[in-house]
Amino acid sequence: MNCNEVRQFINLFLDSELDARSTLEVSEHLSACESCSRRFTQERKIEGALTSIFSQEAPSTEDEEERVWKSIFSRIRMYEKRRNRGLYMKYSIPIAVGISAFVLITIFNYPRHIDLALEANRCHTEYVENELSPNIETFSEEAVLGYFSGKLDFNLCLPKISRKEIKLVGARSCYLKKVHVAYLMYNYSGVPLSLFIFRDEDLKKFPSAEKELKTHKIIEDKGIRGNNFVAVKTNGAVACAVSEVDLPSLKRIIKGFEERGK
Amino acid sequence: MARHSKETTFLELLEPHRRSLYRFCRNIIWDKNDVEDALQTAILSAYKSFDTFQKGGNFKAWIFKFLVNTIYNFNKKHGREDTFETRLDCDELGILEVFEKESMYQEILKDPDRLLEKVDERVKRSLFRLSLSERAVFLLRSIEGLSYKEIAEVLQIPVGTVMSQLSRARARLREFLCDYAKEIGFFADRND
Ligand SMILES: [Zn+2]
Repeated sequence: MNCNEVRQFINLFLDSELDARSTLEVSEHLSACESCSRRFTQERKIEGALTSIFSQEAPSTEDEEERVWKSIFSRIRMYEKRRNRGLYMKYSIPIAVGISAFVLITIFNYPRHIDLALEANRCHTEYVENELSPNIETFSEEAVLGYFSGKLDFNLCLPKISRKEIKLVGARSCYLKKVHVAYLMYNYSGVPLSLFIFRDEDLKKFPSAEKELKTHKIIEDKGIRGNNFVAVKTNGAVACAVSEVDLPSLKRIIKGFEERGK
Repeated sequence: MARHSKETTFLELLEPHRRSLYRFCRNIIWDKNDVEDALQTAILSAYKSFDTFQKGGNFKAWIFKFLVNTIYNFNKKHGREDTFETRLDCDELGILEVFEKESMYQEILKDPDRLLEKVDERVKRSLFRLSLSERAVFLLRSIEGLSYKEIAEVLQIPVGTVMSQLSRARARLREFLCDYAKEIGFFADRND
């Protein structure tokens, strides 16, 4: 390279943007040519001086700069906060709506059983699972009435059973929600059937049953752990039946109770 | 946790370049009152786009791009609408050799220190006589130490344009330096 060629590369050389080969050639020329070498040194000096002039900041701007950065950092924090709140809103509202919808759907679809039905079923289940046994085992209605005689503060009458497939097995006195009840155990075609009879004043202990019985003569509930429930209010007493037996059959039995009560 | 790390990572990457960004912004923005707004706008929009930054990539070039775009928009507000590609005259390369003040410049080069110890704010203001693109290229190269390729990336112009703009910026700055030297009686001093 001659002096003219080398000087064409002065900027690229000073900026370290020359390829390795050209850098070597320029370097070789500079070490041999005093004039070019001096020119390069002076250019570097001018460049350096300009650079330092433009990069100088008045001392007062340093505080100003810090203030600007602090405000920028706080803007970033604010942005992050808002963005997170945004994300929170973005996801939390649909999630909340989803959960609420799920809960509502569950509540409306979930079989809401009558309180009395649940209590009666609990007792019935205990009996079926042999955790609860009759105090008196008898096929005789008279024996049952005799057993309860003087034990209840209401007039007990048993349902009129006209069907052969239903048989009295026994009875005991027990409590549903602290309400004293006459518990009669039957057998309907080999399937256990429980009948509970109690004073109608005690119905207030079972608000949902009480409410239902105000508007319906016979109330029913089904699918309580596989059992059905039917209840009727008559003659100062409430009678309810629980069994795996189908609802129409249960209703027929309860109707017999109603007829007897008249 | 993820939020914390994004913010922290960004601020950690930003930290070494804060000075440069601020200085560059001051040196290139038309209206000094816009410095804070422009810097804030640029940094925040970079932060919002931080997901697009390739991990291990060139953060300095990446963030300068946001600053340059923001400054460009701020200058536009003041009718200073020069883009980085315009104002390309045909006399770029080798301008140093042909410019009329070459002899004066030769004089300065004989003893640069004698002039350099006399420079003041007026020389600094001469920077603003450069076009936006010349100024940007010169500052990114000389002060920020970016390579031509990085500057091309920041300004989104070809490397060839970076080279011609840089060459032009240097020539003009030297020209201003000559004007200044003449103004302060640098040559008269010497002749006396
Ligand atoms: Zn030479």
